[in-house]
Amino acid sequence: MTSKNKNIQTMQVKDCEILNIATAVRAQNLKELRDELKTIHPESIYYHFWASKLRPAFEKPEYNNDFATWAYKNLHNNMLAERLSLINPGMFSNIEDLRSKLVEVIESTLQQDPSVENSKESEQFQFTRADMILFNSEFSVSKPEELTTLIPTLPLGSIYFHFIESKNGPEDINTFVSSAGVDYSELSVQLSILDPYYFTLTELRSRASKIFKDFFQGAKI
Amino acid sequence: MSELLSAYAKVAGQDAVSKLQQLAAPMKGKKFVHVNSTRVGGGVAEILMKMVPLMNELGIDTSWEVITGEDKFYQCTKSMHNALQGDQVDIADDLLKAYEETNFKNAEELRPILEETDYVIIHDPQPAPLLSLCPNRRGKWVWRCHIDASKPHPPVWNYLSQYVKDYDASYFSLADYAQQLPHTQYLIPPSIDPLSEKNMDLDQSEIESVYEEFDLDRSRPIMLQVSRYDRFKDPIGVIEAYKFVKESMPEIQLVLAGGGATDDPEGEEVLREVRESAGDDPDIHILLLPPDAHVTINALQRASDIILQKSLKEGFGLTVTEAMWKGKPVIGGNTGGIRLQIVNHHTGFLVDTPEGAALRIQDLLQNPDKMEEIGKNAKEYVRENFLNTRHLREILSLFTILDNQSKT
Repeated sequence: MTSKNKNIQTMQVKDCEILNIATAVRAQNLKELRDELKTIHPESIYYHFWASKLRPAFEKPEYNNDFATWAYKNLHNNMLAERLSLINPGMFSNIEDLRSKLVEVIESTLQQDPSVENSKESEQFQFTRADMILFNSEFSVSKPEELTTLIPTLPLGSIYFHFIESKNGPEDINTFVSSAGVDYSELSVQLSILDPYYFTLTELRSRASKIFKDFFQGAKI
Repeated sequence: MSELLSAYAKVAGQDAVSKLQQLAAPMKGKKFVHVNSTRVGGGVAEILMKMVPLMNELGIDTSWEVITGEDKFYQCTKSMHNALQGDQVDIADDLLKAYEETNFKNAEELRPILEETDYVIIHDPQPAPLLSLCPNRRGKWVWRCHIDASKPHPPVWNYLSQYVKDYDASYFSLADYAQQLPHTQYLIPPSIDPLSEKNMDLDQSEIESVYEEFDLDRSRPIMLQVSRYDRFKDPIGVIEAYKFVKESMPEIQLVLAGGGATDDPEGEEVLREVRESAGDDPDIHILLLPPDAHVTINALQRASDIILQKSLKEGFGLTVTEAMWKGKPVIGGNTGGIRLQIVNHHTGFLVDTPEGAALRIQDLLQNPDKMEEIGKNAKEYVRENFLNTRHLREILSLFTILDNQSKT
């Protein structure tokens, strides 16, 4: 006997793209970064933690968010870059707490070394945010098994939307899996352990594909 | 699918065209107008020439209007262009008056069209006042700034912003160019058209014809820079880089291909300096090409081994994208939009000096595999990011967002 939810909703698989928005707010040094962070639009903070994953890249970034990358590349402050990169946005229940943490880390760095190094004028930190556009793909899924062959073929925009942007919402992959019944609870646990902050979208797709493949190869459902 | 859309799908990918069709579907039958100040010459006209037919093919009723003016109007807009790029020049009142009167006259003619249009893009400062002259407009109006306005001369920006601030949105090529405005400022880089004469695939015979036409030895490596003779493009720096390379690789040849110098006093002066710097070296080929030499430039880029765009200042630099699209490694100046296109060591190299350029040229010529890999990366990078299918997708996305905001 199995415990599958026969009334599971079909999920339309989507793709997404972002349209970048300039805030015209910039920082040339750490003090300016701290000051602007206190008031910048919350979507900009979200953007600088997650949107870099959608940028084309040829290698895995050294650090996990734009603030850390700027500290490393443009202020040449590796210590700060490491501290900023360790801030995992998934650990914060809202953007304001995340904002406070960023400001706290920068302030503690400034207390240790109040000297201010300016970046080059052409390499200022450009606070950016984005609007998102969604596209319907040709796929929809009605049970988790179907994702085993589908996920490895999905474009990165779909991975971003269903694993990051929709986190805990109705279009989150794990929400879909967990709503499919207790037979899939172990799969749901495996997916909940997968923290997208630490992976590129290509890596995330590959890890998720493996989780599905391993689960359905060994599962008796 | 129509022949044109199939042709785009073939080069940009089926997915790129499907997304355009999804975005265009709600806009079918709606009226879309682009307005600028020239139908030929310049990057804006080049983009619109291809984008307007593509939009119509997608079912959006799109037209392209051009405003016209007299000498004083163009003197004013030229000064405005320079001031937005940072020149500390004030504009005389009589020129500003000509600017306002010209827009007023053009508005008289265009008002019936523009006020009934659903979506309007006004390109650059020349037609910017049209919005204020169409009080009964019903559509969404967006201002597109193609200029590097990162450090505008404040009095000129303050004057222009009185016209720009009431638009529903604006868009710029780079975040550095955005200014404080009361509406949303989107970031949409320009693009190339893969089907245009400048970028389409060529027969091998067309590529090979340039060796003979310009007396180039096809058995020896060729480095090329395509740009007008302008100090900001640093042609002298390119010759210096060539001379450094020549010391260890005497077989190297350099082609500098530009045009339009005859009606530009500064251009002629730079051209003189370039010729002087080249001396009588038979391996330096300085070409003056007519403005419609698109196929020749395409062939030269394909016939070359390495392309340079060693600019000292560059708004965007679509010649970089053009070369990358041909699968060539590009060595570019570490400035402006070039930095958006060249991912250092992956799609080309960013350099700050002639020595840096020479180093990378030598490195590439010694490593044909690397040259091939970088060229391959570069082409795919352009396919994903700098074709006009991506450009149009972002423009349609922008208006979709504005429409959705109105509904809520």
